[in-house]
Amino acid sequence: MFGYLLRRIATSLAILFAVSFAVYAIFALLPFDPAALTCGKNCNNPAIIEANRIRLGYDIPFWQQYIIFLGGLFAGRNYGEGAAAIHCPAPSLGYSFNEHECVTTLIGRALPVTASLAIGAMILWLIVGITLGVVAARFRGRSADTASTIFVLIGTSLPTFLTGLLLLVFVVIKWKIIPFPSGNYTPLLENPFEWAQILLLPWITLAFASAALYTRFVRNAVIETLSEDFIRTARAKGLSEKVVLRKHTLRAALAPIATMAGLDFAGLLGGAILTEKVFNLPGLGRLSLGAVVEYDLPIIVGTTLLSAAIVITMNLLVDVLYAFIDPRVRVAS
Amino acid sequence: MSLLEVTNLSVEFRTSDGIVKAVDGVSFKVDRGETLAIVGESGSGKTVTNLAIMGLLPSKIANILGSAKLDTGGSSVDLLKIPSSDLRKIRGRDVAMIFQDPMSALHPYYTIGHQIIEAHQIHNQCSEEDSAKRAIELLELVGISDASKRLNAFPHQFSGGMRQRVMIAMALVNNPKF
Repeated sequence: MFGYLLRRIATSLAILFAVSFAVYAIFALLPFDPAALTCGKNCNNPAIIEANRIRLGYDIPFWQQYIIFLGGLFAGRNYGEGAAAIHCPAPSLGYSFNEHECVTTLIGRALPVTASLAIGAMILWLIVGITLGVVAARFRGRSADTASTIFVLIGTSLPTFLTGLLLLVFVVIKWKIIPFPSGNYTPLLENPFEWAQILLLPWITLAFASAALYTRFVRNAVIETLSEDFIRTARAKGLSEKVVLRKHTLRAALAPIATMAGLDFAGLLGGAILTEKVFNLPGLGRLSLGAVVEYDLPIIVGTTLLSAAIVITMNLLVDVLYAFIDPRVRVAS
Repeated sequence: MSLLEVTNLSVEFRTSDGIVKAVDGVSFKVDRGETLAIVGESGSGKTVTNLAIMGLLPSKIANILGSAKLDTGGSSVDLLKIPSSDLRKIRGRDVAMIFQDPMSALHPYYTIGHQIIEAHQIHNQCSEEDSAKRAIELLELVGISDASKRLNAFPHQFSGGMRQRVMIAMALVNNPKF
């Protein structure tokens, strides 16, 4: 197991390295002049553009820029020289001229928002999805199953932005249960109540569609597992239906859900763009969207790399977790 | 009184294409110490007959008629009529079944030991250590060497024949009536 882990970590690092090069290359070879973009959309002053080009290191060949970029990840980086120099400490992902801040600082501020959103939403959709899925499978063909099918249909056909807007219109504007989202974010440790109040509707919005999908998936997985021979063996031993369901069925049925949830979570951590936009949350999704609109290349490179790193790490974690759940994978590895 | 007396057992399945008759009026007796082999072509209803007696057919789609009286020491119970909670107490203790395909009949996520110990624990008020001792005893009885170490093995680590022996050990763990 230890050897397998080391091999997987080494492969993950190699993939991350390749992704970082690919991302950097894509943005370096785009038909934009990153130096011109740093000076604003209506900037015609070649002197400022040239000064920025040198300051940001865009005047040297692409491969040298990449090596310096990699160096910045480990040792931090200075942009410009002398008193006007801007220092971005390690791990430096670049400097945004639009935001006038180091990309790492911007990400450091946005990541907790997105992480809070993603973790809360995932907990919510797992609780709802697994519970409804198991109930629907257990009472297959009865009213509970029909009700879950209706929930699945609504959940999968309502787009996220519409769910968010409906919640905003009714819960916030019409019924005034929760104050209007101000665009600010209160960290959990600062004020847990306010934190939950800000995130409650985004959690529900984000979790709604996924809960519906997971309900369907869990239902099918449980029904399929219930027809397995080992479930018949469990019943033949004299086990009660509760134990058969909880112990023998759920473990086998939920193993694939762990993989699915891990990868979905990784995708969300990269930024839940629509939900963050609808609820005005200063998370990674909003940061990336703003960067794309403004052609803010350092932020785009930084957030893309971070998303890749998260997906690769989650893949690794999910594989290790799966090996713990399924002994057949463990021994084969 | 016979140990098991099956009279006029009929099993029908309700399918979307209509009713399918799987077993039609089967009757037999098994006395104590007697071995009875039910022989027939594939699909002739051998398995369904036994699953019906064990109460392992889904009641939603199966109509079971007739009686299957089991001698429980003096009195007899009809396995087809008693409540499922009472049948659960008999299943695995007085009546056991060794399934045909041990690879799919054993739970892939639990060790051999866990699965045999679980079968023992349901019907006996004893410690897990005592159940483990019983499991080792049974594994040795069916000819699995180094049984105490093999308790921690998973089904996929055993050969087909060894898995079948595990199934036999699991069926015998509670001394079913014979």
